Amino acid sequence: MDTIVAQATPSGESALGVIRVSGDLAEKIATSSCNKRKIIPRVATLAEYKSQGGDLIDQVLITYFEAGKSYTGEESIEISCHGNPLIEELICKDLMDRGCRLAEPGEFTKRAFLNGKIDLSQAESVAQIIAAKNEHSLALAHRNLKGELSKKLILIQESILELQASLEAHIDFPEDDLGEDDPSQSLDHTNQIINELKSLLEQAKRTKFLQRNIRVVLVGHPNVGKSSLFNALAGKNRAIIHTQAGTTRDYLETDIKIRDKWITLVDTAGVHVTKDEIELAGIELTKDQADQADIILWVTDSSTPHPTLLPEAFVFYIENKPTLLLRNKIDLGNSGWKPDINKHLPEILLSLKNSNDISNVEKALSEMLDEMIKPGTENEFLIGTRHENLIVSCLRDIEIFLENLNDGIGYELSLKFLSSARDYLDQMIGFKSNDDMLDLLFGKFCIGK
Amino acid sequence: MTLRTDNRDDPYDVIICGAGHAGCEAALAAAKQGASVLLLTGNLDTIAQMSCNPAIGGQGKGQIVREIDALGGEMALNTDFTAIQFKLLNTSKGKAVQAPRAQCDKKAYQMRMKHVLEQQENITIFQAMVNGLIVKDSICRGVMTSLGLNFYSKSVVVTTGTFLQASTHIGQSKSEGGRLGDHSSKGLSAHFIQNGIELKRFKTGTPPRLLGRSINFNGLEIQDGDEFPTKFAFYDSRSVDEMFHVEQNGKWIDRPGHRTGSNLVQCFLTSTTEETHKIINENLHCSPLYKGDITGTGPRYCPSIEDKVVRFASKDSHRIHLEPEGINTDEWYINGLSTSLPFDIQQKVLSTIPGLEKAVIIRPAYAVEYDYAPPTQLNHYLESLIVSSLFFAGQINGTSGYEEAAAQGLIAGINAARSAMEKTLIKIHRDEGYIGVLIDDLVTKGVTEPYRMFTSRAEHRLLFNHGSAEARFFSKMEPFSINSIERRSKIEIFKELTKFWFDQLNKLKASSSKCYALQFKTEQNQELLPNDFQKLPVTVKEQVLYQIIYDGYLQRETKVALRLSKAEHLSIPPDFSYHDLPGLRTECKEKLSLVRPDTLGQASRIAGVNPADISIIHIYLQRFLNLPKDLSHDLG
Repeated sequence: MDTIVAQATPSGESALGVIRVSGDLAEKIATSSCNKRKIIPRVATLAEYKSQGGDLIDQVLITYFEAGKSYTGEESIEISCHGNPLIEELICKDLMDRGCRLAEPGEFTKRAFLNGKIDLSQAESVAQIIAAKNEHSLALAHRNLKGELSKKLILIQESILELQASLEAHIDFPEDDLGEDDPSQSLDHTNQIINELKSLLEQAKRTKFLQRNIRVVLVGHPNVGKSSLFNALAGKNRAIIHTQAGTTRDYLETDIKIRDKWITLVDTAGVHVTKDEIELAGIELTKDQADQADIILWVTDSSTPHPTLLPEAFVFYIENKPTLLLRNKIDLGNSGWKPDINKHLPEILLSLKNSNDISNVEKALSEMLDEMIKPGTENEFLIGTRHENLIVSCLRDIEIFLENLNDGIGYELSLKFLSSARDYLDQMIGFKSNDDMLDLLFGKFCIGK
Repeated sequence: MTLRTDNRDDPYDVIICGAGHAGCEAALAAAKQGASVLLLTGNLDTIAQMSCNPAIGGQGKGQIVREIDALGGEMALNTDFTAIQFKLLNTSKGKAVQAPRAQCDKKAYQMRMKHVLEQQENITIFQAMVNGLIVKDSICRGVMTSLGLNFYSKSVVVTTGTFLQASTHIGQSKSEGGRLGDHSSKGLSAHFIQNGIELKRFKTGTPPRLLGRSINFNGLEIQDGDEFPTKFAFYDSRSVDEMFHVEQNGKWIDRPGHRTGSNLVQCFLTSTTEETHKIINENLHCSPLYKGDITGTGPRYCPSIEDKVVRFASKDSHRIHLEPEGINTDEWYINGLSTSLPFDIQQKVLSTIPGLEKAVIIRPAYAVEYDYAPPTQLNHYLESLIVSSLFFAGQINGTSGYEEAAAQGLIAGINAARSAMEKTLIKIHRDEGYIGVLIDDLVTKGVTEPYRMFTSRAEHRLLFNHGSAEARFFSKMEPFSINSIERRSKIEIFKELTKFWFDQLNKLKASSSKCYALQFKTEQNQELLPNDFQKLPVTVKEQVLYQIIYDGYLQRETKVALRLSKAEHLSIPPDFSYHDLPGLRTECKEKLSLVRPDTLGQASRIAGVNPADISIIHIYLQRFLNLPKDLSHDLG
């Protein structure tokens, strides 16, 4: 049997999270991931769980069950880690790297049944659990994907079906008057679907906020007071403060709580046009940080007029990400300088000497965080790993389909990718059959030579 | 050869009721199996009549005819010999979806088929209307006829087409009959119902036929056939005897100078006008379709002109194809103008169509309503689940089209004969060809409108290109021996040649540029091919090139088909009780108990059975039949 993995406890912050693994690889995974030469069956063992790459993920309690003595009847392991969604996700991903696949709903019970661990009288409950996979879990999926997302998926599914219908019509009814077979129309249609899917994946990325801290990155010219601000916000003296430009050459990060929300605050090296290699390396690192930022805090020295903007790459990030302009050192004077960018930025004039100003920054930041994680939309855009993977696969096949269209490959061949793309959506929102396609086809075209 | 009437002790092996496209194939196939066959028809003059359009083949259908030929049926040969124009469709698209079609001489088609039947050993033809079944203990033992004569047999095949309780409509005028001027079969419907067989109602229609010399062809777009015909029968694999069997051995057919595949006629294209649509809209109240006089469901892919005008109001014109019905008649078929409007409106409509302004109708358009027996009451052998030894084929099963009917007739005929002779029956799977898709769709999903084949219905249509039919069915048909030994050995040579040249060209491909395969696609690059290859028969060349060009796709498709077929063919024991299965929904249990699917794949296609139900059945099967568990992820 191939090896399956699933979280046994619901995702979310809690004291403990349990991950289950069942299948032929279980023992091997137990020993290799926790660096044990041998593992005693049915004894909870304290261990450090390391990824295949050797990174420590978490301290865990791992229990191995030999075949015949587990719930499923197969070799199994149970891993108790800290109840942090990020840790659970990292462990699951690592287990997949080690050859596991995500279990289908009810699959552990199904295996227990197949291996004779539960008897026929229990079959009904087994069946119900498996039925949940489609009917009940479909409802569940709908709840999880509730609202806009689910509607959107259905629209995309219909859009694919429609595209399929127009192309099938040209294959099956060569002598009917279907109007011009206009490939550019199909290309537009396909591109539209691709954009929709991509925007969904963007949303999936955004929903990561719910599973990890929002990254807030301080960016600015050297010596404008980024590190001082970092320390003031972190509330402790973490970075070395120095008045000479270019002190922070690497980046520093710390997890802090702004009001009720955890963020990762990142301090970076100052950015300016330079030829100093060490500084350039630092600036490159800052660019990576700005790229990964969810929110940018752009710090400037309000007392001196700024001769130049930041390098272009940073202007791009500032224009495309939520950004707060912090005009520091107001106690030293106000030059009245305004940034020359295509976006109106909220700004705060502040002096680090004034503790009220720091709470103003906290307040503004907190509002931005609230905006990003609106309580009502929390479930709306929550795209789980399974759904994200399905959307990625769907997108991949549609892109192959598009390539085929561009290469002038026959519909009869390219359509294969369109229908396999649809299969992935079907798995999330319910099955469409060839008859559904024909319904659309006959609705759209007047067939009947 | 004397007619065995009222003879219970010396039954025929098979009785076929009806001699349309299904009945003819059924009779020939059964006889070739060695069974004694009685073919009953209400009218000897309408054997193999093409009641609607004068063409065989087309998209999806052309491939079916090639499969019929590969399985040893007659339709392909009969078409080739009576065709008056050949056309390969979809030549602008890939070979996988190209399909042959031929305009036929209707009368010639009938006459030749009739003579083939007359010449066939083991077949007795007799003109008599079947009006009842002889059923005992839920086994069909024979039929009753309107002459008062009873005939006994071990199997019965019902191929009555549109004749059950049939009525034709022209405007308000309604008359009984399965075709204009023909009878209707009444007693049989009652007998089916008596024996527990459910019947439902469908509708179809046909356009007016015009006198050619009253049509003004000047200015109409000419539609020529192909210069090099794509024939339906696989001539390369036939012996001379098989190619010309009736023409050489037949008693009466002698047509010196007849060249098969000649492009004898032209078709023409015209279209409706805004004026046409105005007249139709103004007279919708006279259409029995719109008045509600006709309640049966009609086919969406073949709508009446009033349907087209109403449903596609934004279109200001619809195409009309003019097709000759034969070379010894001036009757023309007006394809695209099927209607049930009254006769005077039909005339008015014609007067608005370019070229038809002064056209004379010699046979009015009409709609026909008829009983069909929902095909979910059959198994894959096309035998009734309710009355055994009773087989159904053709339009009575809710299909439409000569080709779909003939394919079913062939399979029902073979199985009826083999059942009578107590031999194993034959089942064509949906991953083997269009005929498999056709039968599986019918018996599993049933029909909601007259069923026509579309290539999109097949999951693996890339594997079903028309040139591969013979090779595809070769091993399957070995034990059924419909094809002659000589032909079979030729098919084997075809397969070997194809394989040999596929490997050869593949080697060339590997040593040449990457685009080599693509270069074959276009006709102008033929010189790239080796000389010896150029000399091969066209069927071999075509098939080799198909496999070379589509190599990657075909491999992928074959893999998918193979993976799916593992779960697809997981058989469900016939006595499997769904009611004892915990977790199945009641609705689903009922559906499954009714259809009684043979395999898990079939179960998964039943309407109302969802993947969750399949998982449950799958688990049950795995767990209790101790089947290998590696199948568990293929379904559900």
